[in-house]
Amino acid sequence: MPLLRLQALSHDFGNGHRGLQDISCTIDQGKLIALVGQNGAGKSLLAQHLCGLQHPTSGALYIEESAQQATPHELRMLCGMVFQQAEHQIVGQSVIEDLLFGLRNIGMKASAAQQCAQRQLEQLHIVHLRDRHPESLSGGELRRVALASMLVMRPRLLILDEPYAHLDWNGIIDLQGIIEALQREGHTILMLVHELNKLPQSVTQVIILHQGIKYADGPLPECQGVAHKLGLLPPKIG
Amino acid sequence: MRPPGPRTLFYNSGQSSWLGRTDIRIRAAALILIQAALWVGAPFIIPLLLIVVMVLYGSCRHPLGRTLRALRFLIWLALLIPMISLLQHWDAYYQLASQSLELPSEARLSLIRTSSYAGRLILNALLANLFLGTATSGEIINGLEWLMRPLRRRGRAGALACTLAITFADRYLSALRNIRAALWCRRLVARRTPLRAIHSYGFLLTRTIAIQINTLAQSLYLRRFGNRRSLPHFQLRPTNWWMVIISALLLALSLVSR
Repeated sequence: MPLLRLQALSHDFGNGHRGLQDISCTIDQGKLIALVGQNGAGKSLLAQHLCGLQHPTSGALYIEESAQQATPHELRMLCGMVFQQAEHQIVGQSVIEDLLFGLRNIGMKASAAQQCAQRQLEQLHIVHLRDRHPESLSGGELRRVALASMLVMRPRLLILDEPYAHLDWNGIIDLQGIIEALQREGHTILMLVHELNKLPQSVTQVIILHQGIKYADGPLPECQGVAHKLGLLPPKIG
Repeated sequence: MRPPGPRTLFYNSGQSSWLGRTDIRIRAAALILIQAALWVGAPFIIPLLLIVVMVLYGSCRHPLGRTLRALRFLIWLALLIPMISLLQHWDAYYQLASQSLELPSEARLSLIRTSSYAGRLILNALLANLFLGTATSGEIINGLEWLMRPLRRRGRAGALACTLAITFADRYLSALRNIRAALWCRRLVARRTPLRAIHSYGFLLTRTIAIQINTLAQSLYLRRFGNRRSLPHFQLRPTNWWMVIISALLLALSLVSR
């Protein structure tokens, strides 16, 4: 069942440069989807459109089977996004305060919000960071905190912008495990990456963007050829 | 209500303190009294008042980070030492300036007047700093929001940007450190001129701040930021006219002191 539908979505920057061109695709519920493209392909811009943080020049987004175009407010209620530089999106003076920020904003009572935040910390194995100041955390820990802050809001679509940036291989494997666990729980996840080889095994759909244009949309094996042509696979050395 | 988390001396998340509970008008009146005592001409009171001012400043709670607080404390000390030195010789300066002692040279008189003027300005700056330090960030934001109100919808976005800039000021210090390291790697620091310093540091830092504020604002909106629901230091409340009046008074006193 589709959660979100994009129909001929385009985005023009003021200087005549076109960020996205006629993007049409469907994001199905409960799937793990990868949006793949080189740097500057328009992945983050498309993600911002999905979150209602940008206004399309033309085209539209629809939630589920609705015939009404989704408003930015509806999209913000639907999506949660972990930005590429996760450290910039943490607003609390401590980890727990950051998790509580969103919960209090949706009107949850203090005690319930506390329980909810605690559960989320336990799920991502970061209870020991509960009272730490964000500045004292490492890159990997910050990413987990940012992920927890978004997950605690129970978004129907979770967008992860370059989730493996600044992480070592252990961090990548840990995060892949978390992503796969979230998918098993039924979350819809959209990952923005520029390397096809770092995708978890359970990815069900790959969308390839290049210079703002959609080049491929389908299961991973079907997209390998296009990915190879566009240099989205690591080159063979030696 | 105090959100959970570590309680530190300067922790500011809207919880009440004796200073927080003190009405902004009373705090402002205290500051204006200090100003008045200064201009009436009772120099022996000033060191005493300065101690009171320091205690007030030390007790104030604000949402700045540890590094920035340390920096502000150092600036405070650096400003205080010449100030105390000036105040210790206030009478002599005054008599020399009014020519009641042996007539000094014109150049010396000019120097004395300048240093006296600089001293008053420094004290005014300290008082303004104290006022901002003791005011909650909500009160500061009110003033900013009032200034930006003619801009209508953009005013609100601007006020939010200012809120974020104030609340996360300590992050820019680390950004500044990164910029310095990057410039050092490119050997730009070594041949720095004032213009180059503004160009290399100022523009890069402004750009970094703008990017960070943009990301923070997006993060706030994705987490259902709302004026009535969000944490106190993110709220934009109705204009606090006392804040505006007192700021104007402090400015006027600084100008009149010449």
